[in-house]
Amino acid sequence: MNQEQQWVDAARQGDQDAFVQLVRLYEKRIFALTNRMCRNPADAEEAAQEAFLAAWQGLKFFRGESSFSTWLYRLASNACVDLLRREGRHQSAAGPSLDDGESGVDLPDPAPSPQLLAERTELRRQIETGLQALPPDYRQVLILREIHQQTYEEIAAICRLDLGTVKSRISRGRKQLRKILLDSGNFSESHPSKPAEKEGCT
Amino acid sequence: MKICLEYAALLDPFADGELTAEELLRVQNHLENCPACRAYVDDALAIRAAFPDAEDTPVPEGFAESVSAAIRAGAAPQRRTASPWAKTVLPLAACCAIVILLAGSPTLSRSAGGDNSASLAAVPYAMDAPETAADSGEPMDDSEAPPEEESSPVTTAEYGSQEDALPEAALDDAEDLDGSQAGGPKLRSIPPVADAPAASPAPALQSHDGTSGEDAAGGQKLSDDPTAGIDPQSAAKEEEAWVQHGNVVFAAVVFLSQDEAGDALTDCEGRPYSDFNHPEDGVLGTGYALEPADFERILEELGQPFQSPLDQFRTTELRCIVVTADEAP
Repeated sequence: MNQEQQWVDAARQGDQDAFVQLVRLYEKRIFALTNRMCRNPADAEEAAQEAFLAAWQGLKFFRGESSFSTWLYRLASNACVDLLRREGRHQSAAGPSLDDGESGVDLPDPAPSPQLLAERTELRRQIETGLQALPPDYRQVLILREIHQQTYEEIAAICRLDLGTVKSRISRGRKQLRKILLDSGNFSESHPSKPAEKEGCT
Repeated sequence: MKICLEYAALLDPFADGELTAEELLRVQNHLENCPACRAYVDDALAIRAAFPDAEDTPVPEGFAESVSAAIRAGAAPQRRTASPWAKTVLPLAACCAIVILLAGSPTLSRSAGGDNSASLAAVPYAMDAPETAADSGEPMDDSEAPPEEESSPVTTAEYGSQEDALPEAALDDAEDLDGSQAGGPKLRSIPPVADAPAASPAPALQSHDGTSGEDAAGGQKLSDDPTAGIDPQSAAKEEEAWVQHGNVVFAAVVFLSQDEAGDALTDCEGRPYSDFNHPEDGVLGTGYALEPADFERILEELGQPFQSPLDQFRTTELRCIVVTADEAP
C-alpha cells in the first residue's frame, strides 16, 4: 500500500494529521485547477479550501471505487462551480470573450530563467489569459487535460460527462485557445514537421 | 491550413494518447502524408508544452495549516445528513424540553407544552429542509454548454453515439423547455443513465465517490460493503429507482408532502426514492429529477423558493423533489 493510500485510510478513520498530509500532497494540483476556474486568487483559495473541507467531511462516504484524486478534483470542480454561481459569474454560452484581455488571474511568473525563457514565459502568460477567455466548460476540461494530465475517462468522471462530450470540448477548447494565441501574436502556426514517427503523447 | 474532415475527430485524441492501437496506426500513416493535419498536431503539442505544470503552482503560505485549523475548529468527520441535526436540532430540542419541563412549573402562567410539542414535531421537518443560503445565478452545468457550433464529423461509431449520449441529448431537450411554449412548459424527469444508449459508461450519474456510470447506472452492486442497503437481487428495480448517495447524488433534494406538491409534478415521471445512508427508512417517497430551472420554478410556484447550497458531493446537476405520502419528513 503506497503512502497516499495509507493517508487516505487513516484520514477516513479520523486522523487529521494524515488528512493534512493529503492536503499538502494535493494543494498545488487543486490550486492549479481553482486558480484557473476562478477569477481571482481569493476565490481560488476559498474554492480550494472548500474542496478540502468537503473532502474531510465526506471521507467517511468515500468508498475508494474511484481514485482519491478523481474524487478530490470533482469536489474542487464543484466548489468552483458553486462559488462562481454564488457570485453570479457566468460565462456567456455564445462563445469566448476575445475582448476579455484582463483575466484577473494574477499568477506569479513560474519561469525559472526569464532571460532565457522570455518567449516561453510570454506564451505561458498568453495561455493563462486565453484560458480565462474560454467558456468555463472548455476551460475546465483543458485544464484537467493539459495541466493535470488526466485521461479522457478521468476527466469524464471528474466532470460527470460522457466521453464524447469530453472529446468535443477538448477539441473545441483547443481550437479556440489556439486561435486566441495566434491572434495575440505570441504563437506561430506550426510548419508541418517532418513525417517522422509521431506518436500521440499523453 | 484545413485539416482533413475524416481525421478531425481523431487528431486531438491522437495528441492526447487516447486512440486505440488501430486508430493510432491509421492516424500516423495519415500524418506522414498530410501537412495540414501534421501541423495541427504540432500546434497542439506546442501549446501543451507551454502549459504550466501543476506542481509549479504557487500555494498561499500556510494553506495546509489553515485547512487543518478549520478542521480542528469544526467537528470530526461525521455523516453529512446528521450534521444539521447535531448542530441545530439537538440543542433546540434540548431547549424545548427544558421549556416543557418548566411549563409544568406553577410559576409559568401559560401552557407551552402543546406548542412546544408542535414545534418539536415541526423542527425535524424544518431542519431536514435545505438550509438557507444564497444560491443565485445560473448553474454552470451541461445545460449551459455552448451550442455545438461546429459539427465534428463522426468518423467512428463510438464517437457518434457518445455525442448523443444522455447528458447532452437530455439537456438539449431541457433547453427547449425554457421559456414559454404553447401548452406550457413540459416537465419531465431524466431517466437514469441505465436507460441511455451510451456506448460507454455515462458518468452523469454516479455515486459521489466516483463510481463509474456503469456501476451506478447498470444497477449493479455499488460497493462491496456488505451492509449496503441495496439488494443485489433486485438489480432491475435499482435501475428504476433513485438512491441518493447510491446510484446518484442529486445537487439538491427537497421533500414535499402530496398536499404541498399538488399537481405540480403530474407530468413528470417519478421513481421510488431512498437514501443509501438510511436503508432502514426504505423508500421515502417518489423522486422527480429535474433540471435546475424547472426545479427552482416549481418550488417558487409552490411558495417554497430554494435558497440552499448545493450538495458538495453531487454527481449530477439535477435536483430532486421527493413527494412523500404523508407529511414531509
